[in-house]
Amino acid sequence: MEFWLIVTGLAAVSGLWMAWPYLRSRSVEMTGSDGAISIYRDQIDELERDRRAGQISDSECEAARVEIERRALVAARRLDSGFVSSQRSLLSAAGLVIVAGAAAVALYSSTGTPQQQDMPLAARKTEELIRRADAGDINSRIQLLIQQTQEEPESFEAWWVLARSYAAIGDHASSADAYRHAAELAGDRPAVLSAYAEAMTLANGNKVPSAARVIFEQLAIENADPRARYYAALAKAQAQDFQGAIEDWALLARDSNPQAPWMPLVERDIINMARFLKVDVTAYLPNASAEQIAAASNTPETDENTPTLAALEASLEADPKDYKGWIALAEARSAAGDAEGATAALDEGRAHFAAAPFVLDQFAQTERALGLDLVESGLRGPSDEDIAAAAELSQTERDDMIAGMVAGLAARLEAEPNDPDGWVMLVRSYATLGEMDKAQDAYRQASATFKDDAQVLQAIRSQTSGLVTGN
Amino acid sequence: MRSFLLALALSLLTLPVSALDPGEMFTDPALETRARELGRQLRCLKCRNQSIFDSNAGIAKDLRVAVRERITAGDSDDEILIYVRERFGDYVLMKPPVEPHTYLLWFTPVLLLLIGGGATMVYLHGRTGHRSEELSDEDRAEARRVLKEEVT
Amino acid sequence: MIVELGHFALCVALIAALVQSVVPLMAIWRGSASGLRVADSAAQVQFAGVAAAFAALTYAFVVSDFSVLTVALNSHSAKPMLYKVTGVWANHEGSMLLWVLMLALFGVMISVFGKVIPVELRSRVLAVQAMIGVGFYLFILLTSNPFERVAMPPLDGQGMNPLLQDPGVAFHPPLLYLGYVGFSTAFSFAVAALMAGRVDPAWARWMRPWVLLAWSGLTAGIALGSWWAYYELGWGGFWFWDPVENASFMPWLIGTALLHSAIVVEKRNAFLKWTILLAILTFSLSLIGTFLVRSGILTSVHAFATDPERGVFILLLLTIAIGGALMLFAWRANELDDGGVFALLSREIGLLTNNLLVVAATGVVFVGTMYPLALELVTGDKITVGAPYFNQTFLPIFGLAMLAAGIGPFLSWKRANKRDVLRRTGWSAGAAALFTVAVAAVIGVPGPAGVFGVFVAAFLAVATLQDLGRRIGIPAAPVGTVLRRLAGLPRSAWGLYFGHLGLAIAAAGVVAVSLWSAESIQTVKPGEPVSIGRYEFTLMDITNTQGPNYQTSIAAVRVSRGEDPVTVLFPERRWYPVEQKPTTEAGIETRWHGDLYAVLGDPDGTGGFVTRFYYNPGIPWMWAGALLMSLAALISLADRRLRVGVPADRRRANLQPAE
Repeated sequence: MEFWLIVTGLAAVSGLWMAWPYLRSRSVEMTGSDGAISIYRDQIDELERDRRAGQISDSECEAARVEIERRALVAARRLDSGFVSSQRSLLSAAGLVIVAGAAAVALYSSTGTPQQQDMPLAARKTEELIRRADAGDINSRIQLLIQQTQEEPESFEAWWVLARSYAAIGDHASSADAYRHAAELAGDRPAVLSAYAEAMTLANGNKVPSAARVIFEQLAIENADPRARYYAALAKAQAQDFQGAIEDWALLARDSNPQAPWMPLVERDIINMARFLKVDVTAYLPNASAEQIAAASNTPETDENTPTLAALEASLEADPKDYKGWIALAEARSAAGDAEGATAALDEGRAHFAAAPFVLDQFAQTERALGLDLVESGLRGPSDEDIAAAAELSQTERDDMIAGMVAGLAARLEAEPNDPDGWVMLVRSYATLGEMDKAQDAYRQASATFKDDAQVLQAIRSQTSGLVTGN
Repeated sequence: MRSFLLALALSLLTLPVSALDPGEMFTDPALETRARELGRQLRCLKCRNQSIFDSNAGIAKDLRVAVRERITAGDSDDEILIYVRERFGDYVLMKPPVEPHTYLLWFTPVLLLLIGGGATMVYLHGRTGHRSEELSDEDRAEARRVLKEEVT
Repeated sequence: MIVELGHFALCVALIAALVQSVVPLMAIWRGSASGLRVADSAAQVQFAGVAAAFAALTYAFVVSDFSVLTVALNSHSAKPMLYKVTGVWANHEGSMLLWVLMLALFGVMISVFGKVIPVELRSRVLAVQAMIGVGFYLFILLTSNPFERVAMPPLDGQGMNPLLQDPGVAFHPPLLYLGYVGFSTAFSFAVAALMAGRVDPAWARWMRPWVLLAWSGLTAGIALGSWWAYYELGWGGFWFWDPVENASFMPWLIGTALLHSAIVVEKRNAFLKWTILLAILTFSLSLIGTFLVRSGILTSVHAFATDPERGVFILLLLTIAIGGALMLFAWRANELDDGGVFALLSREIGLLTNNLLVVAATGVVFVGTMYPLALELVTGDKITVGAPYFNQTFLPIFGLAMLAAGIGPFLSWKRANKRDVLRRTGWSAGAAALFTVAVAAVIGVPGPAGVFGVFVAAFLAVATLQDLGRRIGIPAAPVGTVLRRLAGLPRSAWGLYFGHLGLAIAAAGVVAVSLWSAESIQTVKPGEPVSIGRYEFTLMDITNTQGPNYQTSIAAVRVSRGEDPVTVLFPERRWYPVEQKPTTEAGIETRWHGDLYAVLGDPDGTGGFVTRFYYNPGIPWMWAGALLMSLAALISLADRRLRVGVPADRRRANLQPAE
């Protein structure tokens, strides 16, 4: 309503402005002008100047003067041709205002979309993010939380929730950063500090950095915080004090409720460490089950596993782009007591997926689960250097790396399909690599994933047009 | 960070090879000059009005390499142009050949100058004899009054 | 609501243009002064409307309102603010809106600053101007509406071609359109004169300022576009005879002819018909240029034929405007009285010769641009008309035109002194020839075309300076007189000298870079020096970093001459993730004699990088020359005499106490 009032007002003002000449009082206008004559005056002046300056002779000047005079005469005789008069004409004015105004409004009504509001991005972003966050999209939730920390940088709550959300998606570096803010705001609250130190450790590839170690040890002593105790022991292990580590874990296991959420982790580490140190696990884990005891001892595995192992190796030889295969191989080798072999399998897998962060993350998790990171393993951090090195790779190596990256992208999308850009990139990448079947397949999966969102579907379709059939 | 890495690495897929890469160049400067001169006369088929010498599209590179191979094989410039034209048609030549369907194109400049010159001649010829008539004294006086007249 | 109000404002502009094109003509027929005045008021409303529409679209771009289709398709929230604003006209819909904005701007300027133009002529001019406007408003609203909305806006836009995210090209379209569209005034004046059946020197004087303004803008616009191509496309080229470039170059050429012939109309009351024809042709070429660029016919004749909506619409406008004007010309031109008496050797004939050469040069560009399109449409044969064709046909003709431009000022109006002209021409030619020989001896000039080029540029410069010298009394007059005369030169004379000198300097630059540029393409590792001419380029190191919406690798390239360090260049390779496109940014250091130019290419995988190093002599001269030409037009524009007859104004004021 307000909109139409403004439109009508503007139409009326425009019409009135145009019709203004009809509303003025009577006047007379010349249709001709002596503009031409004033030019001839100028020309005569210029002639005179040139003559005085000696640039033209008197006779030249006289000839030119005659011609200018002749033209001026013609112009002057034509000048008197006429006048037009204007009169106030309310009828014309009203006609013009009404016709022009109505025409403009009618034209707009047929081409415009008057009901649609402005939708500047700043206003929409939040609204869209809330919609998605409510639908369970953690990335949107994080965006909202970031906004919240920007609006209220002094709010401990905001930083705390943000840090936990980052941790949930495995972005431990950002998580540590957010925990640091939270810790600063919270004073020395032990839970916050230990969460902070844990995030630092995870961000560091599960190696306890010295700053975190200080915090953990402090907390372990002062507050008996189980998490701090666990990590303080881990730090010991990583500093080659294996005996100290296993003892601390054993103490932690003894002090904890067997149902405590951290118990599986602690038990796992004790078992792994016991196996590594070739000691009796029951000394540290009195209630160990038979299965656990078996896992902690270096009993050779049953024969059944051997063909599996060989088959895995062969299939990976043929298709190194199977990251689950590498994980399976590492698990199988580790189970067979070959920790070095397991590490080697993961390392080899990493070489193929150097630029696929998602897969690298999976490898790191496997490594941790198998306890391979406890032994001196030269754990490789996420590979910034690899990317930098990529610039200097040979063509084959580069191709290999790209193929690995694409496979990594596919793996990530399998786990986190809610990423339209990722799908488009995947389809394009396959198409570029010439793997049209896979491109087609990826496109189908993307379409299935977003079948309820016409907008996204349209975007995917248009951005992959010409690459795959069916769009 | 993850998306940055992906973007960076995927960019390797799409980055064009730079126009004229050193790997394809001759060491002999005379041959190199010839190759470039030829490159300027051939059009990159995918591009808009770019010669293969200027273009960095893959197809332009292929053609450049082909031209260089012909040079190595000892073909003359004309032979190479004929060779390329046979394969890709007139479209590949930056300078269209003079043929019946391009007569109009090639003779336009001459034609324009001739028409312009001719028209000027006719115009100037028609003007001769058109002299300015003298003004009578009366008229001159009036003209001067008109010219002197400032504001009424 | 702002977006929708902008849309409404555009509708108002269309209606105002309709009023402006109909009411004044009816008023002339019925003799109503009020109706004539409506032309002015409607022009003002039209401008206000389209300016409001433009502002609304700009707002939509600035706040990233992706519910506007154009914004969603051509912008992105991560773009720097500057490119959000310039993104308004970096797409089809927005650029058409800028087109009509310029058209309306010229209309409103005529209505406000053109009060000395008699009301009847002014109304006619504005009416014609508005008719062009009506056509283009309809085009915009029916086929290219910038205010089209999307019901479900995306979360972010699709970005803008990163090649266009550059300050050079950002301001190229407004300047270009200032020229392109500004020539519509010449067209309107011409058609108005044909309608009235009368042309006098005052007509030319009233028209010329608008043409000068347009020409100045177009000159700067073309130079800016060429400059952008030079540093952004990364192989040191500055002009490619691309149809898009030709589209702006043709109106410039023929507009140059128009500027000069209008002088003859004003000074000598001659060449009336010719000038009117030129005015029509100039704007016709602007329209044809718009058609070429906006119809999509250049991208693919085939695509144009299958989805012709926009192309056909512009083609229709083109036919109506050009065809109508030319028919009117054929019908009414004979009634125009061509006056002025002059001898065969006179400035009139000099300007006519020059006009003919420039028009012939325009014709060559036109044929070269349109021939492949026409041939493909008619016979299906595909041919390419590239730089070699234009170099062989256009350059000789334009060279002759430049020689004529040198001689022209020696000729006096009406009847020139033959001996005097010959003596001065001979003197200039001798000096230029001497200079050419000296250059050939010292640096070496390859080929006769090069010799001709050097001579032409030198001749125009020498002749122009000689004429200036003589006009202020060098060498005979005492210093005081010389200085007094120098100070007393009218601005139009400065326009002449600066314009011609600018052309000579620009031509010298073009010749120099074509003849003597040195380049080297190679793979180097940091620290390996490469010799280009007298300079040594050394790649120092490469830094990877982030721009506002791109990642970039910046190389440092040290340039030295002998033992002396000269400068460090910073060429870049950028990657725009949103648009998924790379760009190159050349590293350029400008010296008075030329540019040092470096481009960074791909890494070779073993620590080396493909690099291209150039020494481009004369390049700065081209830009300086173009700038000087553009400035010359503005100086001419400031001439007292173009601020048209003050007495006439006062007299009319007396007749109209009510005013």
